[in-house]
Amino acid sequence: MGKYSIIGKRQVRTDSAAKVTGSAKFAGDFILPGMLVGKILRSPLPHARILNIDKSKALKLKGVRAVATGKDITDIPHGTMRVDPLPAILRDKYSLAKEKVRFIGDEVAAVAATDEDIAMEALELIKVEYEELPALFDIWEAMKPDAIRIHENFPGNISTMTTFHLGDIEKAFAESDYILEDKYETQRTHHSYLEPHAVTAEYYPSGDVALWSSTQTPFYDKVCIAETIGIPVNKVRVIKPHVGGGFGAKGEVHTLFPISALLSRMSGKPVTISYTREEDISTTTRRHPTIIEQKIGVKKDGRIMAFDSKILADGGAYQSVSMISIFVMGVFQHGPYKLPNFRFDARRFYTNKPYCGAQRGHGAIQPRFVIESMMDIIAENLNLDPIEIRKINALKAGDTTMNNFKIRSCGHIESLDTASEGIGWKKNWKKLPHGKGVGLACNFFASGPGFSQFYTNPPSHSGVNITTEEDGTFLLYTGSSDIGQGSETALAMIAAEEIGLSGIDQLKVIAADTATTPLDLGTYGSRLIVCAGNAAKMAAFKIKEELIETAAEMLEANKEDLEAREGGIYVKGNPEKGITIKQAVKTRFQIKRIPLTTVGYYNPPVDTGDVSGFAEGKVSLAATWSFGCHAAEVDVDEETGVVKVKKVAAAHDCGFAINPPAVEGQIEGCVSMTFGQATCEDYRTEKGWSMTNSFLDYKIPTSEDMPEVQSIIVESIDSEGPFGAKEASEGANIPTIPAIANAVYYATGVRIKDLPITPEKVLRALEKKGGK
Amino acid sequence: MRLPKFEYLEAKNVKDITSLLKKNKEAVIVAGGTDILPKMKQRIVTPKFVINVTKIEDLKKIEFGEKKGLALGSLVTLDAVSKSKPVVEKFTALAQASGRVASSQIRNMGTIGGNISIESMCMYYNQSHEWRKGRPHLCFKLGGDRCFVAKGSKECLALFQADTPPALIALGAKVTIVDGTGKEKVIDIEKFYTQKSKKVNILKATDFVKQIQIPTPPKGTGSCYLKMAQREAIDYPVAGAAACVTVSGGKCKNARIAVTAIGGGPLRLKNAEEILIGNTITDELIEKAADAAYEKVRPMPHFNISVWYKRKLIRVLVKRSIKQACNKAV
Repeated sequence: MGKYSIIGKRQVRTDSAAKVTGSAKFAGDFILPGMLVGKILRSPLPHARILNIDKSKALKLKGVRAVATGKDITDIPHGTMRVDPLPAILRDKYSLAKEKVRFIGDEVAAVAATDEDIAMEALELIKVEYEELPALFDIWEAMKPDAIRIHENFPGNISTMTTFHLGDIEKAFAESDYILEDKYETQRTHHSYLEPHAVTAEYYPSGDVALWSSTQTPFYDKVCIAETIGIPVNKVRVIKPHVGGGFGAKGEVHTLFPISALLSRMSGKPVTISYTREEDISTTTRRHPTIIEQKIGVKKDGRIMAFDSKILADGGAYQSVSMISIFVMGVFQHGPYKLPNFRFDARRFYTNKPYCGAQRGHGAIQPRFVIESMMDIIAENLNLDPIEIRKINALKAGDTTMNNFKIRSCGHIESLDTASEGIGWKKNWKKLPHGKGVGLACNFFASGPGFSQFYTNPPSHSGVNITTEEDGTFLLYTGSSDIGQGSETALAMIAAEEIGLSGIDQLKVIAADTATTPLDLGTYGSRLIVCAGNAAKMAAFKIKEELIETAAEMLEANKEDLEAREGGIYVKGNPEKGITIKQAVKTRFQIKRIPLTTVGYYNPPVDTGDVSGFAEGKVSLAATWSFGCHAAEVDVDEETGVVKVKKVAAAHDCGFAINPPAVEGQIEGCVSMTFGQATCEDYRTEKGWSMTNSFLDYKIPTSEDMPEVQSIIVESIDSEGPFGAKEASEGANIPTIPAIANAVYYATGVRIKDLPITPEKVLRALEKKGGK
Repeated sequence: MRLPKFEYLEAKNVKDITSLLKKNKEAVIVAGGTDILPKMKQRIVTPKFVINVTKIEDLKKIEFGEKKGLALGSLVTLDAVSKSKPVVEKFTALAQASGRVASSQIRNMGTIGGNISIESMCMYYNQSHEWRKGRPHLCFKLGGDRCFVAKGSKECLALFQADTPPALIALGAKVTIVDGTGKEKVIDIEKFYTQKSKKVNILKATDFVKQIQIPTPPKGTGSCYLKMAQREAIDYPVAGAAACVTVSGGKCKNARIAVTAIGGGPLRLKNAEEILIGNTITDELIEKAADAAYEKVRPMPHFNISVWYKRKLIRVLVKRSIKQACNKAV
């Protein structure tokens, strides 16, 4: 028998049956009596002032029940950058435009009608008078001194700026034996979750409203909806049904949530809104495209002396969570390598294009592509091994980075060793025939942010309540959002293990309903397993203690001598003497006649919430940190430039794998997503027009393109995470791109520094190298 | 996106198609639906009538005889074409082209008749109604006065990208078309195409494709279709090339080469064929033929693929398809 009876074992997910039979209900699947269909009218202009909106004709169309415009909402903009002391101007978007539209697709009006066709027809009957304004389509236009301001409060169209300097950069470069300066570009990508944004809202005569929404953050949505339509927060109930992926895009409060509630209030009927794939790709958030100039100084032996990093990002029309996006593009450079001196200067510009926000591996993907590419160039120029240079600079457990990150556990070295072994590094690196190559890269990511950008004073970051049924089974209430990653199963496993149940079928998870489940900040920042996981463990521990107390009375034993495991409570060392947990539940009810409900909660360590050093780039930031390494094997057709990725050996340090197949699934999903960003995905606009609006034109990899993925779970047993667990859903998204870029280099001798690595770029580089 | 409203009609036999097309103006035929339905959802096509032809069993036959050659009913699915034993053995390029169209789901639905009749596509045209209606100007294909692909272009530059036509051209296929009076005519597949992006084939509103015939190739013939696409599935080709070569005693007796995804139709490359015909097949000769292909093609720019790259790619694909065809010929 192993140490644990439930966690660490391969558990079938609690939502498997619903998903494989198609019975799982998503936000757009709710059919309520009298329900109307909502549709949104969007701006056809990239930048314009709204002079007048005439909705009279639309209202006269048979079947139209409500038409909403910016006049029907409050003056409180939505947006999640809400915490004190952030300036109010960071919330820069209204659910429906009030004075200006800032990109093609900006929301101008909304209609609720008896069916979709009528709603579409009604949109065409709304007459909007615009005064067209000059539009800015790239950062170079946006930064011109005489450029029009897209947002009045932001001079120079700089939406976000972060600069800091730790250590002494000039001295460090002066003391470096070798300095490399290089420039890279990354593209816009879209999350491409299976389920486009959707919501169903029902407003009641009592003045309450309930929403079933495709979201990562129901508790943030709740507040924004209340603020936008002007009702008290306790009148809004957001329920998260099954969600078909979010990857950061659904951690944003999108227009359809408040607007569905508004239309329902205006019409007196339930309203459902589902974005088309085109609407979803062209009007929700996407990953920031960046231009990065990086200077790295090292000693002869490869020891890093300093990073000097300059980033320009094209943010699009609105702020989104860019304050965080841009900040973490800097601070995430503090690992997995020890960084003694660091200067960072990043600016994000507004442009009249669809806006950018968080995407899986938020803020880490772009600089990591740069750093890991440059580590290989430096290693080659100093005649060092790419693995060695990554080892001698490695952070280790117990370290605190110069900007205060606490490294509690570290699987960096083991990840490097296992991933490189998985790809056959020793026999393959620089030894394969021309056109074939292997390369690797590492990662570093936060798990559990210490502060919320939204709530100034949340009661806790994650709350979990556990209670019992009369038959001795358990209910676990969590506000956390499983958006497909399998977190409900993981929480059930954590609680069942801690209580000592025989299986997770003894415990039912009720999740993500703002009216009935305790507050949880949401699914982002790779916080769920650490935050909700710890809260579940605490609530489970407390209920176990209560039951052991009852069992002690029943068994006439000291409670210190009892232990709960596999459905029973036993005298330690005497498995004959015990009772079932079910009996304990029933008996406690009879004896004590008071409710058995326990409250668990989790807040990341106090120092991680201290943002006083934000401006200097010094914040402890996250409860803990994950590590990992991917090694890729590629096959390059040197006549066509086509890169085939044959295999990715992906090692990820998730601390401890609560449910190993879920971790493997996340690693595979990560490889799929960033293999796409590495080779084929490219969200494109032209003069503000969204061009790649379907999965024919926006090219996410198909199953036939996918490389073999060897998922390698590294367990460093973290001191902060529940049972040692850390995140497993974002960190593994980070190293695939540079691993592929490095492998392409070893296969061909050419290095592509702007993403994606297309056949055309490879062929051009090969011809340039060959002197053609 | 939902389909627009239309009236549903059903053809029970070939004659029905003609009479339904004649009786109902603004009707479209739906076979696999893989091309027309997305266009209807995008409101690029908004037919009053939709004629379902999928119940006509006569058009789903694959017939082969050494003397008669191959006859494919227009409703044979691309999947069936790609897996048919005589097609795989004797008309390899067609099996390969059919097997590389889009994805397995689409090949299960899509038909050979539909694939040869696909219209050209463009990033400025194959977009939703909502997208197109906001644009300040219409392009040629929408009845407007400009082309967004290349500023100043006097004509539509939408790209023809079907996979099977170059293979059919290389194999010397003929197409049986039924016109509005019910009369059949058989034409060379090359003549089926107009080389004009705005309307790539000669089909009139009341015409339809009934059958595709290919003569059995002489002994010593091999054929091959090669496609490069941005992804292994779903995508149209960045470029595709087909070659059919007859070799006897090391010498090329006959050769036909055609490419796709370079302009307003599939293009036969006679100059490359001429280099091969009558000569002993060597690597150098094949390189020369590929050079000729490179010289001949003037691809249209297409969104994120440059003209420079497409020409390079055509050269490689023509070279490799000839080589593979020759290998099979021996």
